[in-house]
Amino acid sequence: MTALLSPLLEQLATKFRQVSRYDYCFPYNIERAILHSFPISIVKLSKPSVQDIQEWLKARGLTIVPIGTPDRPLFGCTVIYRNRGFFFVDGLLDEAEQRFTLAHELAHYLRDYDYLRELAIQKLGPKILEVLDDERVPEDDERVFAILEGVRLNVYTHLMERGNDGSMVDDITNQAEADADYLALELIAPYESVLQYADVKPHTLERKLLGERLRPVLIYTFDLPNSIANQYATRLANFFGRRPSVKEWLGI
Amino acid sequence: MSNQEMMTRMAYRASSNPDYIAYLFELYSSAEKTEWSAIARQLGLDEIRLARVALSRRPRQETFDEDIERIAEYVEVDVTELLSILRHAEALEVFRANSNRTGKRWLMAARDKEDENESDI
Repeated sequence: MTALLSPLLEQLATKFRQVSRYDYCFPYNIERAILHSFPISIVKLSKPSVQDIQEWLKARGLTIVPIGTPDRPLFGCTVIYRNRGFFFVDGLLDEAEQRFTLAHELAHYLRDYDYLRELAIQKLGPKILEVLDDERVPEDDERVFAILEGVRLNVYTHLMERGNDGSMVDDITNQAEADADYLALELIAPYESVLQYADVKPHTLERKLLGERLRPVLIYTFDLPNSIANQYATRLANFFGRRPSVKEWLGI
Repeated sequence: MSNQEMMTRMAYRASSNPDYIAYLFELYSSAEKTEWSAIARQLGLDEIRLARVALSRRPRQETFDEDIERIAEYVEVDVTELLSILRHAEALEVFRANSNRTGKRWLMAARDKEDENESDI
């Protein structure tokens, strides 16, 4: 692995910081950043499930395509159409879990909607918005250009499918969820800031020690949920930790 | 009729005009089954200042930030609270206007409540 994040996720994180005028104050107020910078409403429900969200939308006369998956409890959910929509989050979660959940939903919006939409506009021109917003079907030349430019016009994504045992149903969903987690962390706990707060330079501290140094920083400075902080600390330590010398490894 | 009554009446009249924030307040109010007085409390405003916000033109997409800042300065309202209402109302507006469309250009995604040990970061 040559980089902690893929080029796309780095690009999305950079764009987010520009758009949101990132203030590098931690714990990061992602809720405020979302409201100020994106056309999305945040809705807090009590222990929502898939069905609760469908009923919430139905109660307001909002018809969406059927979510079509078995009911299950959620930390959060994203529903976006024509570049407007809702981030649902369990309002009974503690602040840390709500923060990470909102960051995860924002990561989906940035990766699985906004980026694809911007790419289509960049490659095919602003008129393609009429297609992306379901006002008309694409013309033949638009279909051809889309294929040639590697742009998806049936752009948007239903990532809520799960197997009966709750597992991801395909690689696309699996990768999207993994990327959403990685990007979410970069939005609320950028790795460079984490290392700075831990007062550590890359590749100077042995991995185990680095992980032990990072863990409390992630929990107390960046206010990540404990389990997320543990895993992120391990990941950062694996990437930025110094490998033991042969002597250290042999214990001599 | 007092100044306050006149402004309140004007704000309610403007609520049928999509060019004004009053329209979004009314959308929010009817969807969430909440009175305008509750909106005023949420925004920390009295009736006259609420009416002033309501009678402001909707922020334009291309100058959204500047328009919001201008309204917030004019009335001294918390921008984040105002945005929470406006974003909500705009999402309702777009979803309702397109409820008959059968297109598939949606994003739907979720963070499942799973065993925390199963997360893979």
